[in-house]
Amino acid sequence: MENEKSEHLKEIPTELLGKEVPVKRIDSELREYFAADTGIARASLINLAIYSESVVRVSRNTEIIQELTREHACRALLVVSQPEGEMEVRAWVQAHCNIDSGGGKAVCSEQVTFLLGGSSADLVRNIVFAHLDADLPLVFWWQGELSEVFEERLFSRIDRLVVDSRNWSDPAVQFLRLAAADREEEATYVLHDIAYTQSNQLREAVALCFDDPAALEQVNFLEEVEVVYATGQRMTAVWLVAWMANRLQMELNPALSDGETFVFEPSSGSRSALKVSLFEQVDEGKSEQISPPMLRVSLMAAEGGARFDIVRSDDGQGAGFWHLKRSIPGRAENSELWPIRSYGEVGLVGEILMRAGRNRLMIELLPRVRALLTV
Amino acid sequence: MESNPFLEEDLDIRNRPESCILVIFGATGDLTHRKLIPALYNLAAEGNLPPGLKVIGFARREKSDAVFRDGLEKVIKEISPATYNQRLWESFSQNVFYHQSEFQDLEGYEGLRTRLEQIEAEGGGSGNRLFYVASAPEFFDDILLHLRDAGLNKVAANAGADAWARAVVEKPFGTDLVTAKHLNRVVNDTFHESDTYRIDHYLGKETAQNIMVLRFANAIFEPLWNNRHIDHVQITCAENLGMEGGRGAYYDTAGALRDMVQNHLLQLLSLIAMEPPTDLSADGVRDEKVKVLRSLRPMSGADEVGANVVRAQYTAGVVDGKEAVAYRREDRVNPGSLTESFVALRIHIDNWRWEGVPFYVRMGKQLPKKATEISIHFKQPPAVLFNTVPGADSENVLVIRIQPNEGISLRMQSKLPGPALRMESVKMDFQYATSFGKGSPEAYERLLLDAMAGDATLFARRDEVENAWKFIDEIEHAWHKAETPPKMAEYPAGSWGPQEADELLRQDGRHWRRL
Repeated sequence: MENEKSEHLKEIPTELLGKEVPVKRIDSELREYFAADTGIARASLINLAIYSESVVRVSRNTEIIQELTREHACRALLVVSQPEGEMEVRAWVQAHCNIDSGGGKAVCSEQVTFLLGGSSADLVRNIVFAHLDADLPLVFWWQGELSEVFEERLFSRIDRLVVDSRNWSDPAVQFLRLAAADREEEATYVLHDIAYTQSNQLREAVALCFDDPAALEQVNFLEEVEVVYATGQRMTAVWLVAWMANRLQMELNPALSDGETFVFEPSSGSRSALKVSLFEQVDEGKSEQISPPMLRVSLMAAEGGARFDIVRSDDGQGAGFWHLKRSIPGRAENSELWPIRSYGEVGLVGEILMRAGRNRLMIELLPRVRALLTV
Repeated sequence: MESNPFLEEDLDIRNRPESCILVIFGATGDLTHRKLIPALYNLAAEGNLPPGLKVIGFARREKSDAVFRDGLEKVIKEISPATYNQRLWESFSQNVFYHQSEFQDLEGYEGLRTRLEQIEAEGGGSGNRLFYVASAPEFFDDILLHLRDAGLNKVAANAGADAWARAVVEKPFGTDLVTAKHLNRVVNDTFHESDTYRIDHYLGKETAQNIMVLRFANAIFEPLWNNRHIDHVQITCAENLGMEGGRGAYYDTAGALRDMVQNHLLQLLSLIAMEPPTDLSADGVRDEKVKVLRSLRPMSGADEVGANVVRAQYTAGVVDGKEAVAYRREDRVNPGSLTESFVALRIHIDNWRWEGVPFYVRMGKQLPKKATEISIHFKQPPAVLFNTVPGADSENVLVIRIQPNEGISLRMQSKLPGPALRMESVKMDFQYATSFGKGSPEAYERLLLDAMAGDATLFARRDEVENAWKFIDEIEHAWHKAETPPKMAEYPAGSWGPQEADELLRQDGRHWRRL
């Protein structure tokens, strides 16, 4: 058992985590840190807890916190939980400082890292709740599969729950679990799925395609959609498909659908059915920052009719663009570039923090997503 | 299909800018090069421009599209090196065109109409047209009247049912009430008031927009926001520049009162003093702002103006460690000029909320630093408990910093640690730059998007402009037409203004807040 414990610790780059302190000294250490340097200011608008059961994420999560705090001042709690290990609690404190956007003093956000061995739901809950910045909202980013630790007394205190369905081995099961939690009266959190957030700009791009009257006339004639997604990004494609069906008020016909092709029928009216096909494609050599989840989204009317393409295009200088192409019979082809926003975890979580709100549309889409996952 | 089913409220809660052709009059001018095109390019770089947007620069100089684009690219590279991307610029600039014409030449406008129709026919555009009048003010009439004569003030016959034609007009909106009314008449003879957007870039600043949020989205301020709890309000706009870059030629015809107070500072005052609007619609907000302007107590006659307004010019001095010449010795300023470079006013708002609460407004050139701030000075608590305690005479002050270092601070009293009861003022300070790492967008970016979206909340309405001029004209008349006008005071460049301005508050037992 002792060996096992040591093996876990070896995997954690503790030198990145700042100063190791006894848990009961965390607040006084942070106070002393800020009192020692009058040239810095502590800033915090939210509590951001990142929960992970993987020790290999520690260094990446520390980088993420450092980058996020440039735009989102917060108290960051990084909780590395090892439910299988021996009971053990260790803590580190550090501050991430940036020169403020006015070029003035350094603005600092605190990061408190916890390593919880043999962690139970009680331990995680206690550690998180004991170290929050009072009165500020709690954003809880749950990395990986939902485990036994995710229980009512934890999620009832969360304001925003961030998950990433791209990393789930069985999204259908995990979404069922969230649906069960959602039925609890105490679940008042707003749910965000990073895979859905990743579709934000694509949804905007689809909307932009139909922003002028000539294009808008074509919406009722759309019959086919092709979505080419990068490996590992299937959940974003699924969210996109659920969204399109929702916006066009169409219902899935499970009998005519399989895991890669979905057929939707109109809820009412006389428009024709819509066939949506998903294609996976290996996307090699792209960095996380510019590599978006989709390579192409095409919306097509019946043969010989209008066609709308949103195609990824890189300029070779590190910048990526969506190439929006509108081809409508009788009109000159219209083509524009739209800069791709960051698709790294920092950019996506930053977007969640920036937009805030009730995330109503995503919640509304959940039943459709579950239906698509169980075809 | 009536509306785009893919549009989401959740994704973008502001009004959505609609695709259009933007025609800029005065396209070779500084405003176009330094503000408008960089704002449009930055919006494109952030993916915030509506697709299919086309820009046509309209100006007198002979130029091709390519030469016009090259000139703009050079400026973008200089102003926005961080956002410049060659491929993005190529994509953006292929939608930028140049149209050469004299402003007084009707044929030029007819040629513009042909060009607009051609672009719309080729691209299947929306038929929306936004005309931005950014020329020198003496051409405003010509441009607007010729737009009407060429039929450009109306949507094209073949455009969609929801298509629109709008005009954005840059300041100055006249030089007095008569010229403002004339300009408004010309504008409204061409465009309906609801299609007219008068730019006051101060309203596009994040902190100006935050005034309404601060007041109406926080429960703790509004109950105190009246004459029972507020002693007085100060609005200061200080500039540490003089007449650099040939600015004296324009400034000497305007002065601090007309250049800054009539528009920017009275807009800020309206936002501070207005009643809660019934809704956040453009007219809902502007209706309340107009009521404030209509409630400003007029100053009639030189004596009343002399008692409530101080005007001054700077004499030689030192600013930012450098010697500064006197106003009358500045480049392109009349040596015998009677134009004020500083003005301080005591303004009363005659309504229930503000009865007895003076608003002190000051604006000056060549002051010690650049700062625009609003401070709300609360009344002292009843003097029964701590009135004999050292340090107890300080008031609570809520400060809204418009620029620079945008933010809000609240000064309050606190006990000094120790066995003795001593009090000291402490400041709770919120700074945008510290709390929100993301910088505020440029005012012109926001205002351009709003004009494309049809949201006029941050633009001045006709009656706002005219009521502001009505108030200002009384002062100008006393200064320039009275037999015995109030005197022109002096202050050394680099000081906080003339002694007379300090005296204006001292008479009321108050003093200017130290910035």
